Amino acid sequence: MPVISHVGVIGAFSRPHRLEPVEAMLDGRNVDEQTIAAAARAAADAVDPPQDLHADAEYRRALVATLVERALRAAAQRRSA
Amino acid sequence: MPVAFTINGNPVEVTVEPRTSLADCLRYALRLTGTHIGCEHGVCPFHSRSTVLGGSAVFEGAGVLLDKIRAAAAACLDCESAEIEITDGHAGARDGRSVALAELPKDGLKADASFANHHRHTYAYGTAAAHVTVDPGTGRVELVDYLVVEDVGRIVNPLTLHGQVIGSTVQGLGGAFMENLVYDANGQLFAGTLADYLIPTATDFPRIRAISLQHRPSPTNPLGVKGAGEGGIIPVGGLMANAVAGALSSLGAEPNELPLSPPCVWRLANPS
Repeated sequence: MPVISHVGVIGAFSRPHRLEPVEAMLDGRNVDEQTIAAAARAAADAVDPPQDLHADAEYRRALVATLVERALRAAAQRRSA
Repeated sequence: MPVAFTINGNPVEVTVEPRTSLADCLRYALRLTGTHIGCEHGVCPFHSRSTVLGGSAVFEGAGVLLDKIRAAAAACLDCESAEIEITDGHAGARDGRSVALAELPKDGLKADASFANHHRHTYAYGTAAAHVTVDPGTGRVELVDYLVVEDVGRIVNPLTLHGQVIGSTVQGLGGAFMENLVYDANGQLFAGTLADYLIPTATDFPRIRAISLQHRPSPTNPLGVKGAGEGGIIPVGGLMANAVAGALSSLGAEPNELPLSPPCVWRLANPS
């Protein structure tokens, strides 16, 4: 079933941010594993992470991919349940 | 035992177990919950000195005082001090006559004692085991279970000992996972606030089990006590690094620095 998605991240820019390009990739599509993987990659590419004592930018970028992937999969599972 | 004293100008009477510490009496028996145990240099139990040194001095002093009480009771009951038995606040002679300790003449019933264990140190005797899960996608380490076992020689106060072991273990876990003094090349400290220098609190590591044993008293002091609590903190860093290495063994990960922060563990799990 097609979806309308909202993807928000914090700690991935200097302020909380919606990832509209990623939302555009998802809107109106079936959220399958292939779409999820592509969206996670796109999310990692879209962010501009700060770095500080606690985490460098490379880690934060990879974390965005991991968390977007997990969030989308959880949302898709909730939807199909 | 009943105790009476004056606190904040008010006389109070309370009944507590003889081993109850003054701070516990104030907090739990009298509900004066603002009572805290201060900690200053030389007062902390680091290097196992509180109970090993101070406790042994008290023990020696109590022995001296006991001899004086026996002598005073013997004079009172006109018998040999060797036959005096002290039970339940009374000193009794072999023939059944007794005198309440409170009725003995107070003069001279004082004892001074000191204790030093030159070159006869005590050590922590214990071990610890941990079960962790590592999330390779985030670098997060979850502590599923943690068990620390120590033989402290003799347990004097089970409640404060248990708190000491749990507290030192959490302190060790803070060093293993959170606390990081970051400096730049000029020696400028970056982790200068408690928002940047992370210190563990009670909710960070809820799954810790501590078992204290008293199978083998220390031969170096009259109480037989050993380092207690240090056994909680000593093994934590190596143990956590080994646990993470074990969890990531299929990747050949070899953690060799602390803290095992999420970015650090993520790098171990995702070698570039």
